[in-house]
Amino acid sequence: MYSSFAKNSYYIYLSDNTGQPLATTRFGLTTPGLKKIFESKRRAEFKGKTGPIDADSVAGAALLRYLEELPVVQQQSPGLLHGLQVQRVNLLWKSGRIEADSKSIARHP
Amino acid sequence: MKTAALPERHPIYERLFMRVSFAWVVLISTPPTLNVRSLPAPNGFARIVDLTFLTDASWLTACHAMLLIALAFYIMRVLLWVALPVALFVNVSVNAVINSQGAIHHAVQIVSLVLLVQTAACYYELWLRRRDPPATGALEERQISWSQQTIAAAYFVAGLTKLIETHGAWIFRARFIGVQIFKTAYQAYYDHLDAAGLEQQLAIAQFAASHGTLVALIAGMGLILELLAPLMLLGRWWGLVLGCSFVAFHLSISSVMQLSFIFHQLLVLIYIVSPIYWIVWIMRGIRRVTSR
Repeated sequence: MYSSFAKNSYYIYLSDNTGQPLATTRFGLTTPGLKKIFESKRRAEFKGKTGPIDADSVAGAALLRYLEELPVVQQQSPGLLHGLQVQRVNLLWKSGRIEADSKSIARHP
Repeated sequence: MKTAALPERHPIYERLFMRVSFAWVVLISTPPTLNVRSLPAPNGFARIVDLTFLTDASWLTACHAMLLIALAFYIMRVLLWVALPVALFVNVSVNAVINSQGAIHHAVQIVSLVLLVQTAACYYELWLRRRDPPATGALEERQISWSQQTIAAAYFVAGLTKLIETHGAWIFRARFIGVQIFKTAYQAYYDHLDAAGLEQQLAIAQFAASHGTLVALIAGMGLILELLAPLMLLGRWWGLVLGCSFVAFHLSISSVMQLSFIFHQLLVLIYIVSPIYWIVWIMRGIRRVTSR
């Protein structure tokens, strides 16, 4: 079980260029694993930086670069990556209800 | 040289069951193929040893073959002082590569820990042998005992961490568990885009969000169970009751939060509950009753 709980959390998923979700297992990963990789890229982005940065976009782009290199992805058609988007869904506990808000944070060229 | 007395001895069929089952757990917790190209964020053992060679499929296959041989030796109890370190090296290395992708998980950690203490017990035995020849079966009993202690410690530390991390407020904060249930429900959905069970999970998440006190009480029972884990070492009955409670605890969390911790469950079953012992115990009881 989790060592701590918070009012807010988020998850990451992948979608195609039209915004339709793609199964994370097509990339040889799990969705929680995808989020952890994104989170480590995001932390790396903050390290040693000062001033405002759009960490989500930079980490999202780094995640897409990571996905490009995966053997499972390279065995599939290159079209899989075209317009691939990283979607972030923010969750918030508000007076006994959970609210979700999603946005696209990075797109593969 | 006198050493601490070992607890109750385990019959040969039970020891064989434990060896075969544990070897199987080590095997399934060490993937033969990896979907990785590099180690972008070296973690654990990978920070000490450069494990990049394991991203090459031929090296990984060779390591897996070594693991199979080592586990066969482990089951037969031949050359344990070589077999155990090899199995430990392959298990830890492969999982360190997986954990070096920026996504760390601790699902397999308990398997590596048990493998580590069994290796340590083997070398401790070799050290003891310098003075006196050990009693027959003493090494295996020590390995079982140390494995049981490791499993109990893993649960106890998990409980303690929750209290330390939240300054004792874990149960109070558990009322926000609904957010995590909501998240894990969607994460499970996006894995395969399989909506089976999603609606039910979301309903549980919303229920948990609006009934925080009740959920906190249920979660609190799980925390208490973790803190009681050392009691599993008091004897077979304690092991049976608490071990089954842990498996039930995992199954309930798995159904709600998709966190199965399957290796924890398997090791509790193998070393703490030991179903083979109870099956034989019941069969003997039935035979005694029917032969009267």
